[in-house]
Amino acid sequence: MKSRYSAAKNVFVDSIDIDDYIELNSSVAAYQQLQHSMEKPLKMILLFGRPGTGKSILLNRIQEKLKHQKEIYYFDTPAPTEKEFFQKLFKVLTEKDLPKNTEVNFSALIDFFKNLRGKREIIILLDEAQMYDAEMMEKIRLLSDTRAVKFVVSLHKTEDEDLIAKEHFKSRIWEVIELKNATNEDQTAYVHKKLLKKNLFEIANSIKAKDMKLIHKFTNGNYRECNKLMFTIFEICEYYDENEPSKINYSHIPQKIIEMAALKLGYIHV
Amino acid sequence: MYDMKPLEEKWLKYQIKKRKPWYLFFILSIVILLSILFLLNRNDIKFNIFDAFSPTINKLSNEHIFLVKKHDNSFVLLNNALTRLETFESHTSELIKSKKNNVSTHPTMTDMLVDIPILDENGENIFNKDNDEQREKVHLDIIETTSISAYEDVEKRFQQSNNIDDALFLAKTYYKKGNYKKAEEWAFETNQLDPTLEESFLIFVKSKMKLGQKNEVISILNQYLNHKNSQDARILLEQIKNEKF
Repeated sequence: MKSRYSAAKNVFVDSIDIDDYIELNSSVAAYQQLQHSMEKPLKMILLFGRPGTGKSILLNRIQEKLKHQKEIYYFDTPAPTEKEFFQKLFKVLTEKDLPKNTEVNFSALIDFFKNLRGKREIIILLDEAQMYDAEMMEKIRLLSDTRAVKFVVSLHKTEDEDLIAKEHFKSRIWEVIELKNATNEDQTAYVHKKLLKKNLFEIANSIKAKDMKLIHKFTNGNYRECNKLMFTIFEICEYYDENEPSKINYSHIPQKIIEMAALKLGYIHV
Repeated sequence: MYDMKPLEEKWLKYQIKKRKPWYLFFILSIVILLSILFLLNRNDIKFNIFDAFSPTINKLSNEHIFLVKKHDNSFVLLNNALTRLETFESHTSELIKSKKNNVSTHPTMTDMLVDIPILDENGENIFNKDNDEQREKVHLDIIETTSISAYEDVEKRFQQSNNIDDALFLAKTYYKKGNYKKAEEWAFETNQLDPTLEESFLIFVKSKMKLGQKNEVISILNQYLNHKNSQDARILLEQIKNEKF
């Protein structure tokens, strides 16, 4: 018989699937702020925050919500080379593949965008933009200067990335949206809503406020880390449920299991 | 699936590590607590030692406080001091008499050689430790410490210990010395500590009698006899009534 924890475990498989999106007070606020910024005649919008604060899923969600109203494209993974980036850009703009053995001429691309001004309003969501090099970012800036295309650049918040933001976009980015780590309340709502979305009421109730406090302490309000920890917790629960049921309390996740998961993931050390 | 055993062992180690500061705090608290208790008890130990000796001292006190000054200027307590004192007193009275008669029949006090058992701190006879045959005559100066200061010491000690033996000793001694006011006070003090102690009660009424409070004494004794059938009290009352006290 399949353990009750198997389904719970799968809820926390990390993904940016729009179906997994959980509306929290903080994420709703960020969503509205981003949507409002995109309405403004801005050239570039910087979305930044520490890894696991929900940048990707926010971009994904906004693209999903606005795709029928605006010409919006989501570049989830950065192109490894400049050539591939322009090929990708060419495809979304023309809906055609670039002919083989041809390259995008950057000057021609600028002219192409200039011609689009006033005719089309294109929004490009660039996730993981910290992976683009400085030269590439400079070209993105030049494209945004045509005012035919608006870029939402998502960056991890580190010292280096702050530098990128300052050096390359200081004069051009008119709006900065920062995503912060989740509070304990947000994270608790996130975990419970995720479980309730899959009708796992009993398991959601078995995670008490004290447990969430501990989980928040281990993951520091990082949603990705929270997913990992919850997945591991339920994986351990699943093992005990199937092999040593005496060691598990169905009405309350034991602190021991949370700490074992934290040890397994390296949040704490012996 | 995880192999749970190593993870559980790791968790156990983590628990030990996590609780280590608490264990250390607990042990440290215990050590500090024990140290405090030990320091506090040091005073108690001193008192206990004093208490352990006090019966011996009291026993001696009930007779007389006597110190013997040895030639090395150290002091030892005399056993059976009262007997010795009486002997000494009889010697001195005889000396006074003979001096008055200009007849020198006894050696002077300072040159007196005495053969008396001497107590060490444990109450043992110093000389009896060895064979009796090895007893030797020691040249000692005997100083009577039945002076006022000695009684004051006992009074001070009583203030600290509230020992009934001390109070009774003072009552008896003051009565013997003819200080009936003091005797009355200390007998009263003794009876405060032990209302059933007849000896102190009798000293109390006798002292009052000596202080000329005959009517009050008769009244007290009558009341006493109403509550307690005491032969001594009855005899005393008869003596008082018959003017034989």
